[in-house]
Amino acid sequence: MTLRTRLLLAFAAVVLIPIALLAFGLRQEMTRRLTSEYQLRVDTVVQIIREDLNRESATIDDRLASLENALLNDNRFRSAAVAGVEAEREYVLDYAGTAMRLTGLSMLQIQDDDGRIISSGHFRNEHGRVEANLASALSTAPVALVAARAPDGEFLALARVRSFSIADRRFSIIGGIAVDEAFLARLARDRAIVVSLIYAGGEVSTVRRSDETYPAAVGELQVPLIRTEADAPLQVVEARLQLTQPLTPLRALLRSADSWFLFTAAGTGVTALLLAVWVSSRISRPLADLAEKTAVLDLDRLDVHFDGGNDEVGTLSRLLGDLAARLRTSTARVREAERRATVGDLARQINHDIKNGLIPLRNVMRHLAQIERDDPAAFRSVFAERRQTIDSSIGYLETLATSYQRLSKPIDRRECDLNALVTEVVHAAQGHDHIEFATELSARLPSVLGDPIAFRRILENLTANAVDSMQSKPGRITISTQVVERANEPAAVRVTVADTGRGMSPDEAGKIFNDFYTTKEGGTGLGLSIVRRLVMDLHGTLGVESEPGKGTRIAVDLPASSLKRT
Amino acid sequence: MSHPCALIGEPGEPITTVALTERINPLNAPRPSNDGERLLFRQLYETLVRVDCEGRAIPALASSWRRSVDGRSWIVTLRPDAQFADGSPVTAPDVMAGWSRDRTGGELQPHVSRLVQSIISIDDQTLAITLRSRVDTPLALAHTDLAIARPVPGSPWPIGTRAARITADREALVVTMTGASVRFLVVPGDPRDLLDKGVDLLVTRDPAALNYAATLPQFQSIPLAWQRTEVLFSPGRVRTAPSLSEDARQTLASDAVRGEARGAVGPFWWQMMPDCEVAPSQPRDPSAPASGRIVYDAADSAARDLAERLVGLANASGSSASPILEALAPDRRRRTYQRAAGLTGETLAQARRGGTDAGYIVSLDRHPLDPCHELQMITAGARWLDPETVVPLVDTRLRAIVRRGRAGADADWDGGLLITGVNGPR
Repeated sequence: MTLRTRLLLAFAAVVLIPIALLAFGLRQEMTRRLTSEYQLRVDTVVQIIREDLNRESATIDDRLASLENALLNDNRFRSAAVAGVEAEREYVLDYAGTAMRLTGLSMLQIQDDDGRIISSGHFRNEHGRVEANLASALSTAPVALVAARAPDGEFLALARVRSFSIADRRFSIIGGIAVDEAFLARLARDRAIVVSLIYAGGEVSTVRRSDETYPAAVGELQVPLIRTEADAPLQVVEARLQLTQPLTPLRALLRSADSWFLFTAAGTGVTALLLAVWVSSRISRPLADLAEKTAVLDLDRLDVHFDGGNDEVGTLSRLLGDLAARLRTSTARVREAERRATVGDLARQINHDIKNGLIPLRNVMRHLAQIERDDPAAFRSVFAERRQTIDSSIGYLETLATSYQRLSKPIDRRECDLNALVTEVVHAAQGHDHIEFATELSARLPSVLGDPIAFRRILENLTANAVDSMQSKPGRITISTQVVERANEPAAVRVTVADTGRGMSPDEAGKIFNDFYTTKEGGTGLGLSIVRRLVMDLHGTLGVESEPGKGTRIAVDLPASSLKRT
Repeated sequence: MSHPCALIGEPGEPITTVALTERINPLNAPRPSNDGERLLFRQLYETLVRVDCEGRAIPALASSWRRSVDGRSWIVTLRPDAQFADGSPVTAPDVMAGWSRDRTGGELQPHVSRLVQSIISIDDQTLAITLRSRVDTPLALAHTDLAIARPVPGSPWPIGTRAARITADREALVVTMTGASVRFLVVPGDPRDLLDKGVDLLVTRDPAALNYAATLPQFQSIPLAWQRTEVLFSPGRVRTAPSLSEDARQTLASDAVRGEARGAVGPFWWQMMPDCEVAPSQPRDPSAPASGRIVYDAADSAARDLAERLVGLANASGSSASPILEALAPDRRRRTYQRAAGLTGETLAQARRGGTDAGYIVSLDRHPLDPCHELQMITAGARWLDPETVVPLVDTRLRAIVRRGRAGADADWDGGLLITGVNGPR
């Protein structure tokens, strides 16, 4: 993650989290307060509606009282209803209709003492229907609803009853006003408040209610509903006058607040982004410069100049400049020490290499001296036989000299036949009666690319080391070559020198390639060290397996030439 | 000696102002759709024949008629002086044009072809008319569906054989008969207002107007003939269902109907039509659920009263409801009549055709000029109806409120009035 991204995220977290918390808190507080306010408002309206219903009911009662007085003084009504004058029957049947219109009621019935309707205003031809107990049920409730019938269906009415007597006959006037949408709207006063009358079998509401539920403040008022059915007892059930104040304004307010918060968050985010870009550029540019200069810093290139400054990055730059200066001094010292060590190493290596060239000559000379002493007649033939060794050793020494002369030159690389070199080295190493030399050479060994002298020095050092490990005891030295196939890498040529000598512990085996490490009395500790350097120069690898008392096996893997196999 | 069909027996001054309170739609002319149009169109558009109050065919546009030789057609001779209001003579081709669909004398209009099978012009004055009903007298020629009229380009009013000047403003339509001292005042609203405006004749069934007229000494109230019978069509009703007793009908008339009504009195013409070919009914399954609605014509106040009374009875209990409901709706558990619905026009016709309601209150002529034709019309509009299951409920009639000392109106067989001040030679 880049510094710029980190800074941006940091700014965003620092700015946006408080804004989100503020938004959440404000929403919660607004919701709580407004909901509470709406609920209080609804509760107040419920109380007002309760009073309105009482007032409406009282108004109905006043109108019924006027009708009562009119009926008490109406001789035609008396004639028909009490005396049973048939000619006035039509008058009574139509009386309630006329009276209902005059009084502004929407429901009016005149019942006799059996509860039989003798005149009905809202349903003229309802006469004869018996609604026993309706009058008594209404008389006990100051505010009550009646399910009234009209020709085209049922409607609810807020109803009252008044009873009076004419000539010992008791009559009741039941009248009311329709509780419909318009009535509920008048009760609500405020269009924002939905008033619904919910009762068993139906609902009247100021708006069409949907199944969808929204948060709302709700208040309720119970009103008894009296229902009469033919051939069924009168029922009094509870109807609920429900007031609902949808929290639409609150939702709008919250939406508006959300919009503002989103706008603020977006603005802050953009500002944070710009700020992060600016700050990160102010911080990261000197750091990037510093990183660029540090990237080119190397032991071979310590001349990089680091600018100073007054801030932390400037201080760091100065420190790096000081470090580079100290490194320059140290490197010069190390190089001088290295040069001196290299000269010493070279002297020791030359000494060792010359000894390696002289040992076969010494062996041949000892052998010839022994023949001359013991079997002079065979001297010529033996000399002829060992002359090749003498020539080879002399040639080796000459080549060695040439090599050291060319030490400063790049290593000579050409194709070499390792099998031939192994044969030559084994032949030269003969002369140890107690040691049996054996070779296992791969017939399809590819040539390797490198300096043949280096290859020979590797083989001679390994062979000499193996001979030394025999400690003058009988044993066997086997030199083998083989092709090693490696996954995802070119094939290698492996040369293995195995002996049956004293062997080594794992600890010893881990140190044998170190300079000056030796377990032999009078050893220089350079043989295998030279082998390691030569193998590394030839881009090869070394491996050792050894077990005390059983022998050692050293394998050298050298990259095969791309040329065809020999 | 006064004419037996005269509305007012005593002689008097001619009636000069006739009041109508129902809306008049000239597009209906000459076929009336309400009582007001029935009265006005009868004055403006003549038929070939009139049927007087005693059921006799008397000349109108036709001066004479006789059976053809083969007895299948009527040879009708037009009155020589018969002419349209614009003075042009009424000829046989005019009659054919008025009855045909394209006014060329070809295919007959549907309402004509229900009465008339064919018409041939023999000469300018003579027509050979084959009626669908094989009767001894051509009473069907007096049907208002066969009144003679000719459309007038640019005018909603077709021209008839009686001349009139028609003026209209926002408040009233005034039809003044040319050459006569009679005018028709059409003012929809409270008919009592018209009585106060000094009209000579008002035909109404409105109880308030009748009661008011009874308090005015200058008017007399004369009942017209029992003109309509309100009946009940009940889908699913079977012939074996109990009939409604005369007492129950009378109870319905007195308890339910405002205005002039009585329990329907038989015999009923639709029950006496054995020779009339009526398409077999496709009765509804009695167990099929009904809508609980009783349907009536919203323009028919008597039908509304009856429908509402049946709903009231269905929701009532006690002895007054039982005799009626047991006859009309034996299965009360289905609570047959739950609500009344007043419909008009195509909605009403559609409801009747469907037959999915609990019942239909329908107003029928008590004295149709062609009963078979009438029955065919009824069953065509309600194919599920078995005429034998039609339940007669109440008879209704209009009353004529006539200013005292006025005279000059004749009643026809179908209950229509002809103001003789505008009448041609009787």
